[in-house]
Amino acid sequence: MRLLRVFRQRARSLFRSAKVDAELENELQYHLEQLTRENIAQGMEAGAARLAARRELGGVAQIEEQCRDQRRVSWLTDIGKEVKYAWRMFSKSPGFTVLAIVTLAFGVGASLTVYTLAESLLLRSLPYASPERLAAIYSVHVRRGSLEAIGQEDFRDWQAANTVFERMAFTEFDQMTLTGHGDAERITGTAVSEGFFEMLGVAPLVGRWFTPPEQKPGADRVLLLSYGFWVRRLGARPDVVGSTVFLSGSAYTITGVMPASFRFNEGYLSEYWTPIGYVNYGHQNHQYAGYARLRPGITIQAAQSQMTEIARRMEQQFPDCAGWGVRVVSLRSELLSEIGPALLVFGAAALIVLLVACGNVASLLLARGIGRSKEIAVRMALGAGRRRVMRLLLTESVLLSCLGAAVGIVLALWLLRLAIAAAPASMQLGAMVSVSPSLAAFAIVLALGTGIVTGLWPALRSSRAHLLSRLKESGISLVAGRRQVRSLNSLVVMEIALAVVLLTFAGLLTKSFAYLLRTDLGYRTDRLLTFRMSLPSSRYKDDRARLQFWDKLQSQLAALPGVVSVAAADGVPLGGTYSAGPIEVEGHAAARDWTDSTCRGSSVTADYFRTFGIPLRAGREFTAGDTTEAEPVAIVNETFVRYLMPGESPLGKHVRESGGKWRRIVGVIGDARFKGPAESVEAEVYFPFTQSAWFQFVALRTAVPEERAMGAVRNIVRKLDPGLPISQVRTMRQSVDLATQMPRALMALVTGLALVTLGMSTLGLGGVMAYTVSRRKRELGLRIALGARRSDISRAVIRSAGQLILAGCSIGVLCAFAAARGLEALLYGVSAHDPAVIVAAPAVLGAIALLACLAPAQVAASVDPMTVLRQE
Amino acid sequence: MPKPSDLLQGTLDLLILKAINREPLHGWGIAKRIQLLSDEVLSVQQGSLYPALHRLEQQGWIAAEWKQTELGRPAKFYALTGEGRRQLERELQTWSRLSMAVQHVLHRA
Repeated sequence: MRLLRVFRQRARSLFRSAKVDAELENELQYHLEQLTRENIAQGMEAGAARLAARRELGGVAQIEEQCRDQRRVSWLTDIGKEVKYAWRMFSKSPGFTVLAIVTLAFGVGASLTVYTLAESLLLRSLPYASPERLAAIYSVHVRRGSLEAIGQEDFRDWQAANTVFERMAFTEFDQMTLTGHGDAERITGTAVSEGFFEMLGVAPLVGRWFTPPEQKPGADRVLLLSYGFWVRRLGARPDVVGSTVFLSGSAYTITGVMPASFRFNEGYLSEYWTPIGYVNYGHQNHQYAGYARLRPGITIQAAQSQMTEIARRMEQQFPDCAGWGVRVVSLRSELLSEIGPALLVFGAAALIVLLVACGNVASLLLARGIGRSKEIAVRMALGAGRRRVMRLLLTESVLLSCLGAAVGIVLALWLLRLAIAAAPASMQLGAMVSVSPSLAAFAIVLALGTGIVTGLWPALRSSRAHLLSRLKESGISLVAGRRQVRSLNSLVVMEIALAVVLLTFAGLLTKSFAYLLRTDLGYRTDRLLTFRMSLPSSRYKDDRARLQFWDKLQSQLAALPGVVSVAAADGVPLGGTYSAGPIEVEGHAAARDWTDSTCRGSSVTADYFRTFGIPLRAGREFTAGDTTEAEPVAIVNETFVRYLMPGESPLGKHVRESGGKWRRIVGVIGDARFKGPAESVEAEVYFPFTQSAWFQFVALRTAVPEERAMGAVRNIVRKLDPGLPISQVRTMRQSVDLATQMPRALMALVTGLALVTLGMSTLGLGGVMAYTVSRRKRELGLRIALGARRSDISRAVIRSAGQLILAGCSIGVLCAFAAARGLEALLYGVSAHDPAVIVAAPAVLGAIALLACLAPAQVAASVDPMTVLRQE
Repeated sequence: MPKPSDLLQGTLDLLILKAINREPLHGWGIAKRIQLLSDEVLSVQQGSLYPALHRLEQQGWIAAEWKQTELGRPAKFYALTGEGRRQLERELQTWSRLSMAVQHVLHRA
């Protein structure tokens, strides 16, 4: 009953406020009339009676305001009014408003971008049931401490002995050629062991998982398709289940299609999944990626300690297991370690931008608040309470930050699109990053938070009432209030310090990226075209068939205009394929531990080294004479000599792959960074194509821009064999760009944000100086009138700016020095405490900030004493 | 005439509720009645009367109605609600407890 009445009252106060106010006025009017009448009755004259009545009742406006406060809905109606009022203030000073909104938009936009990336990559990127129980399993080479792939035999023993995992599975990279559906195409996929899908708990969108009999060796071939492949090549037909596709010459029955959201952290785009049959490769084998799902309640540590125990037992049991351990890593923490450092740096940069933006807007508001102190004093004199004034000021800043956030969201969407475009395609960032409802919540929290953070301090300061002193002020005080100037100054110092930190980050990342670009790759990247093409063994059954094909292809390609040389190899730098194995050197006891003698092996045609521009250091290149009938030969690189036969002359010595033929070393070539500028050079051994006819890549060195040759190349290949897919067509420069994409993107992002911060903090400093000068105009005019030289005055302004810059830079350098540690994992060839960068960042900032103070200094020096003093 | 003493903080609500206990009154009438009943000792600060009335109305303890005064002018008359009567009881009890406690202190000190 009472609640109902209260509710009716509130509703009336809210929606009929005009009527309620009129009633109140009427009521007070009646009271006044009665008072006046009483006074007259006591013998006062009419006019005096009315005045006395007014005095007795007190300010009608104040009483009305107090009554309104009692209504409990005033906050709602007031906010409406204050928003309207704030809006009017904004439209009166568009310059300030736009500057504040743009500043906040940068801060909010950068933060939202980082938040979305972090949320998508770290929280939602494992779209499986209870992802926290998923773990990756590695073999550990104990002596090196390196994580290696696992083997099937090890896996089976682990599976039998452990009690910590609910399910275990392993996978392997796979690649096949699709034929029979239009153009032949090379597609990548994943071979998976039994239990893989059960472990992840992801059901196919259409169809079913593999049945156990289908996963036995020798069973009919089956495969599951990715959603993307199903849509792209099969037109998303639901009746594909049970139909057949031809991959690398064999028929595969499709059992199902995985959902669009399904992905696994293979680091490449998987178009299909197919079973791995069991093959006993022995305990020496290491070629699969292992995964497991922990039993509920089992921790990673518990799983690790049991697996360590099992591995120790296996070391004693099998000689091939000696020196090997097991490592269990939570899948999420693995993901975190991959992208964590970059995300952390980006996140720190965004936070700095947000802080500087807040500081900047706060100082703008503070400066405005000082200028508005008279207006506020008048408001308070007219009956506005301190809380009311604070609310008014806070409404302004929150409205400002909401507008900033709105622009920031647009900016964030654009930044996200940029990030998606910059990330390697295999990350499938586009599919992973989506705008979620929690993003909206975060944006709202951010908008309100920045509004309150930026507005609270200025509001507290401005609403501190010294009514009389404020009203008496002429509006232009002789000198700006010291405390207020001090708050402005500390904000500026903070902004400068943060800008120095971010500039240092940007400098380090740029220097590191420049180092990557400068790194000698060991091969020439200009005018070099590579593409991927391999001969299916079902149709090119032996070396002879492959050699014949290559002879035809090579002669036709070499005849093309502008082509200088042509080569084929089963691996090219930055091509993404890699094969390595243990090598035995003549005269050296076979290494007991094969990882000591592992080197990368590759079969190449005679022109390979010339085409790639890899220099020959000793001996000769391969020739047409190195046929299968001739003596088996090999070429090694300098690192091979250094590691495997130090101090010896390699020419004429023999090497062999384990189980292979002994080959005589006929040449030594220079080192090349096969995996990219950030990776170190490995020991390499090359075999002549004519003695081991395998290739996956073709490379052309041209005298004309390399893209021009591509059309003719496709025609030639199609004429020779229309069933051969060509993929990964890239110039070598594109390959290098791809390999350095992540550091490039990170550098660009951080540098961009650093420049924004630099701009904001210099603007902030310039603004504060301009403000101080305008407040001090009267004092300056007086000084000039008393004979101060104008150059002294501008020097004084610059000196006080210089003090702020110096303070900010010193704090910034200290912070940067401490924070740069976090960057170490992302730097190549640069120390995190690179002296040049640490000196350059504050120097650049200081110089630009000083420039920003020239205008205010100029204004200060050109103050006309007559005009200023006459203003009184 | 000696200046009437200020109202004790927080007693204004009690006095208003008590003043309209017998019959509905308008604001001016309430002020006058309090002054009258206290033999001119208590005078309501005119400025604080109306916010207090507003507050009590918002709490649902009093209800207002526009009626003609004896002089024929419309005025806002306040009357106790059922809940307001109960509130008056509570406030009276609190008041008597408080004043007794003060009495004790004054007598024994």
